[in-house]
Amino acid sequence: MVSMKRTSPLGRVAILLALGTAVVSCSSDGSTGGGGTGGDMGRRGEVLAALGENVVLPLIERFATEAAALETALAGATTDAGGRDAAQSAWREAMSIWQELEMMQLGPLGSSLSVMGGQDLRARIYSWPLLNLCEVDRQTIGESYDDPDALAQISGAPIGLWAIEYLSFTDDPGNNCAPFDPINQEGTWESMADMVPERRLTYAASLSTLVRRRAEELVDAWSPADGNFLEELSNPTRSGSVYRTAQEGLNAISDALFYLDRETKDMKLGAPLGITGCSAAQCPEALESQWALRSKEHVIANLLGFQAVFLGGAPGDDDLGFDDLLRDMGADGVADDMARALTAAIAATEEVPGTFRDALTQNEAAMTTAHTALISVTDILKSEFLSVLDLEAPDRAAGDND
Amino acid sequence: MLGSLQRKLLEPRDAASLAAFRFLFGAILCASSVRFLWNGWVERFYVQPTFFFKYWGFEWVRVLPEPWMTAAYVAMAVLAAFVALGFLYRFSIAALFLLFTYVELIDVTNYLNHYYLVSLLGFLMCFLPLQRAYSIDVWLRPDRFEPVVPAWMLYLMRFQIGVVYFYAGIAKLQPDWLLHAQPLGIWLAARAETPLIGALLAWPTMPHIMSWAGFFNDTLVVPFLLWRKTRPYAFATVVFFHFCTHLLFVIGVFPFLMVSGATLFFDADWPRKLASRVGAWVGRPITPAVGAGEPRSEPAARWSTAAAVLVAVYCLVQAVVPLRAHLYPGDVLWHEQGMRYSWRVMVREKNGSIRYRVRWRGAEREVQVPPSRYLTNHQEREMSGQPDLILQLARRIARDYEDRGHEDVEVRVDALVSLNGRRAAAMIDPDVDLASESDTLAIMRWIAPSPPGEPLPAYPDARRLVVQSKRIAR
Repeated sequence: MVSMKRTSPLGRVAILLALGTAVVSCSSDGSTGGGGTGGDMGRRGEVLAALGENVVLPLIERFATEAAALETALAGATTDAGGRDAAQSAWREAMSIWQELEMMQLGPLGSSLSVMGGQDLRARIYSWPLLNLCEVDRQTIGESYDDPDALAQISGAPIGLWAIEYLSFTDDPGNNCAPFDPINQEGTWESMADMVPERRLTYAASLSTLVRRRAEELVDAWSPADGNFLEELSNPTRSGSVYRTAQEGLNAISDALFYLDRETKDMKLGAPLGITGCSAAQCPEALESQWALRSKEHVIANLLGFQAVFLGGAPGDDDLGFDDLLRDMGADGVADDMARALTAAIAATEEVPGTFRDALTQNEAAMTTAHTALISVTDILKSEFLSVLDLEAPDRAAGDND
Repeated sequence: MLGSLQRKLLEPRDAASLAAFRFLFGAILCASSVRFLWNGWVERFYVQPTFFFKYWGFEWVRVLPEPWMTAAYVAMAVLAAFVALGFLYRFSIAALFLLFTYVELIDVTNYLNHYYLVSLLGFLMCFLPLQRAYSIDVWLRPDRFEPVVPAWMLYLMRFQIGVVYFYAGIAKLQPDWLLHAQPLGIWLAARAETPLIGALLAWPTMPHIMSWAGFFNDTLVVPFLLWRKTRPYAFATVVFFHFCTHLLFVIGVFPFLMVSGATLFFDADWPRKLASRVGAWVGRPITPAVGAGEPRSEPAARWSTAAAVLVAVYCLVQAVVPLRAHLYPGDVLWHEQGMRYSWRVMVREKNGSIRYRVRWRGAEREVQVPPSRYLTNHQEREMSGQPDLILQLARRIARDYEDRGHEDVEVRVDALVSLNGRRAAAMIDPDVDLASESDTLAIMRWIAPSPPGEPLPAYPDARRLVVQSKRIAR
């Protein structure tokens, strides 16, 4: 045993430093996951695991089922009586699930550039707000429109649910390309005008096959039997994990919730209303669903997805969610206010009569009310929610503090 | 008395400790610059933003286009390495100070207390001959070797480090920190599942223990470092404290900088003593440098009244500037007037939701402008708690609308902000037209009073942080 009495001050410091370094080394190994020792399973870990198991994975599996149903429906769209209507109905079902998933862009769904564990699957399933409609029209009269494998190989070829919406719902005989575009200048579009409606549905069917494949890929990425991203949430501190701590995993989910602020509030509601990002009094062209006219339902689904993550399930159920973490911290008021704000925002959006397109011309006030109700949710999200749970706004984790 | 003070300040001190600090400072900044480049932060902080928040008085500072910002960080890494090695020291430290200060002045949202400290230390080091011992410069020109420095140089550096600790301690002398253990309660709860130490962090009284420990550490560590008998223990405390902060928080090189600064409080010959001991231990005794510890009259002990006055003024400024926050009524953590440069390190958890409302003559209604139209996520988050930055963006938005031909543009803001877990409250008077307000040092009347009430309680039910409560059912 080292005798501190006989050791000089400098020696004592050296011993203390060595001890401190040893403690720090042990702790560092664990915290980075390198040691693989795992941490205590606490409430944040529980909530993270519960959100993965009870909310995200079941929704992904439901989406895969709906994507398969959409593929089946579109396959019969050109041959079966009422096939187009059935395909449109299937698209609506798939989209209502997808719009909930929009709030859960973590792991494989997320961008590989900005999301931990991201595999860019979202961009290949639903590319909104990026879609080159002229390119969709070009492909419609191209050679590969009925070949999913060939379409998948074409760089820049429009894919995903947004292109399917356009192809399945539009009745416009024209195209979106400029007059000097070859398909117009050379008369290709005009010469194939009779075939366009059928080609559009066939092209949509091809794209639905790709969406179904991506959905299966997504299920595989999450499934315990395959990619097992679920394990990243249920055991985040294990060696080699994407998230080093449960807090980091929760932050990834919190980042995903910010979709409600920029995309849902500002782009889907604010821009059409002329409140944000629109220089005119109104910008109906900014509505998300231009052909199926489901913009309102998309916003409601976004809110439901947010609500599911916040509560850990459906309202009234005793599921683990962010609300439990807020209550653990003594912020019952924040949890209650957020739950109330969500319910109010959903109700306000549902109360907009007709479609958003109708509302813009006939009942703008109702749509503005929905926008205001949504602001109440994002205000809590960006202030008290982040503060109480010590979560960082998206991208904020980069950089230092003091 | 003045003569006694003069003699005291001019007493020769071994140059070794300042040389060691020079090495540590350079090495830390070199590593910091490389880390900045490695993490792609040049792109994130200087290329992606389209709007930069200006420092009062430094509005003229502009960001350089790429690849020049990357080049600046590469240059800083090289210059910092030169400083560490004492190579072309005078040029290297001056260029490093200017470059570092320049990149920090580009955008206020990048402000960190320890970046400010780096600039101050760099500035001081420009005037100290820290290359006169243990440097490549002296190796190349042995006639320039100076084994001792006048004591005031060491005192000045100690003073600078001491100011940081002292005011960081004073900043904790407030109810949120000491009575409610916030924001540590929020931060530690988020780390209660850290492997090995998580259970310790979840201990119910841990936020209070750490809050008080932090307060005592910051306020008392300098006297204890100055007193020879307590110095080793104080230094060990410094090391332990900063390694804890390094483990728990993302605070970059701050812990390393402060531990390096604390070495200045040891006897000035500590590096040589340490080297001797290590040498003896490995069987290769190291001979002390010639002249070390002997009084010298030239050039180190020359007294310059002008220099003495400048040093005194510098010290006075450093002592007074952090106090200016007290000139503004209310809670500085809320209004943030006088917050910068006052060493209020890690004392607040603040998040807000900011929304600008724009109106102009003839407009049918207000238009909302989300900050994201101008700012990156990082900038928006930083701005959301700082009223002067909210004002800067408001004025920029007003200018943009005027440039589009609108007249009498008015910009108001809804700023809901939560401080240390309190319920969110309006930080800015929503009825004030910020386009007509100026960014001055005067009291900003448009900042709403801080919300009444206490912050979030620390660990209301600590057991729930680590104990499983509900079953995960699928």
